[in-house]
Amino acid sequence: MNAALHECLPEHPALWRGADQSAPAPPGIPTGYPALDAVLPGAGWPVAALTELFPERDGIGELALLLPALARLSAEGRALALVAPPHLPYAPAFAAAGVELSRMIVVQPSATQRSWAIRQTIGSHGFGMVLAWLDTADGATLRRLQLAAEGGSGAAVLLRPGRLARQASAAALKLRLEGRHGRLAVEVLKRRGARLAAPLLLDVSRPVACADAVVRDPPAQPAAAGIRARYA
Amino acid sequence: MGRDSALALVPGLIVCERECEREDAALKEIACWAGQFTPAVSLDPPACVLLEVQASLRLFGGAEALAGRIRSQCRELGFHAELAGAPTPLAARWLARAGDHALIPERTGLDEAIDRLPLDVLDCPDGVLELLWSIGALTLGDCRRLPRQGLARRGALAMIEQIDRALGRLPDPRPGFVAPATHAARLELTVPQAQAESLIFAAGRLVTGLAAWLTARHAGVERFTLRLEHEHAEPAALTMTLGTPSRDASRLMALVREHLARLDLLEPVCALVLQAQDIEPLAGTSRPLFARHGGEGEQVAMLLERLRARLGDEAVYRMESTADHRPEYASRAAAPGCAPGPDIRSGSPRPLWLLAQPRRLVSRESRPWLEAPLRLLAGPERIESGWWDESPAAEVRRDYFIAAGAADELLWVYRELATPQAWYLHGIFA
Repeated sequence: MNAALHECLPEHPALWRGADQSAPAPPGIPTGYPALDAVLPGAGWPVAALTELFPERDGIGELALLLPALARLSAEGRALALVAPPHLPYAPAFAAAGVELSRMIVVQPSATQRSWAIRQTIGSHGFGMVLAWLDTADGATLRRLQLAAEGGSGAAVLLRPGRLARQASAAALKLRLEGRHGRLAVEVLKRRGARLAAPLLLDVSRPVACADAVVRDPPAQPAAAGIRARYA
Repeated sequence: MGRDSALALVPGLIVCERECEREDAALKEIACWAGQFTPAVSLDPPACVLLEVQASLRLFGGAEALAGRIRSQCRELGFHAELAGAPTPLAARWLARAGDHALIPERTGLDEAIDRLPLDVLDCPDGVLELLWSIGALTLGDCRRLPRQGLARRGALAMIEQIDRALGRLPDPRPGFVAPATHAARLELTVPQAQAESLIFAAGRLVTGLAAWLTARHAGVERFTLRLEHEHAEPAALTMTLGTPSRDASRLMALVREHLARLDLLEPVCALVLQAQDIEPLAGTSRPLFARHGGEGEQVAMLLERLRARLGDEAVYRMESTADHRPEYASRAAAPGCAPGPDIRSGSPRPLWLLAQPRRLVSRESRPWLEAPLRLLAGPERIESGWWDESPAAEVRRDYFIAAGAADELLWVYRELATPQAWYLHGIFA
């Protein structure tokens, strides 16, 4: 917009500019990444609304993106939930990231009860953040989850396979995640407000920096055996 | 009049046998339930319960509000209550019996109210009543104005003493009712039911009674059993466990509803028995003044009960670290309510996801392959442990590496030291 016009027009709630966010959003949970906070309405993970993440693969840093928020919420004393995780959550890793294990509940429902369990956990409004894994879901299920999240004071994050990213859904925020040379490319597919043009590149915490690491050849023969002494 | 004359007068009359034990049991149940309004409850058989509520009026918002609440909750229990309030117990009983729903707060209005009552509220032999009627005394007011010596000579002085007790001129102490130490309630269904919804409705009445008894005893229940009795088959027992002791009727009902919905009934149920096992003293919760997220703990506890009721106890757990170098034993599931375990951290990075079973990888040119050759970025970290464990697969001798896949995902792979030195995928750095 013309700079002079920008100065003249007042910041009035009745005036809507096309490039702006639609309405002042309720404050979100800070993500821990300032570049991401800047593009999210509410400057954080949306509270009382559904967020969908579509990682291309497991292991590119999709949970590392959420870890700062999880650590912060558990330090504040709020409860966290993991519903239907695809693998076993490993306690020492979560503890090393700063998450209080006593505040985190893991729910492992069977395949038929998965959407019921997710809806109950989100709808209980007792958790600071609920992470749930869901594969295929129709629009009605997603709308029910969005409705369940409203009225609470926590975030509801749904992780789904990357190939379903283009499916229409009732979630308030949709992010597509892709790994690029050790950094995480975050593409905002949907948010309350204008659409973001270019994907963000974030440096999420990784155990080893991919770009700098020296690729090793595996040792041909493992070194001589260590302490083992078997008393048969 | 006899039964035959009554049937002759009214042909469509329904005649039931009077069951005095059930009436007694029902009266005791109502007295237990009434303990949630006041600690001073007294039984007045055959059909009257006295509650002394002066000290509770302020908490419940006045006599009218309290009376309305008692009436509606009594209806939920399945009984119809006639209520009246007065400064003395006998006056209150007479007013209720006469159908006068008055709530008289002080002695000043009591005289007129008592004077209006008919003579049959008095507890006296029929002969005396007929005598008084024949004199022309139809109300208690007329009775009071009669001379005392005359009544004493005709053996009716006891009536005057009753009236004096009702007016508060003579003391009228009543024994207090003590709620029994255990609670077991039984509900017979008039028609045997097999549908879960009708059972839920019947169980609701039992749960209301249980919640009220717990309020009277200032206690909470952690475990209770609902037994469904059939005519021919063995009774089925459902045990419901709560995470934290509670006396909230809606929370107990939610659990009962979950369990009844999952139940397969072979035969219609003819009776329900509710028994409370683990009772614990439970004071009321005091909320912090400025807490924003004060109620979340309670909601989490209720959610966990519901999830465990439907998914089973093993499906809901909390992670805990253990002091073991072997990765598969370093993390384990613990019950959600327990105290947190020790904070154990290893020096080197660990993946957020661990595969339940390590997945064998194809190895070409002594490199591991997962859709593409994996690039090893860090390692080796040697873990050799578990030699003391008797089971054959418990000993771990591995070299762990952090590997990157084709799409730059980070994986935790290991190679076994023992021949054939196979490569396995064990974790994913999400």
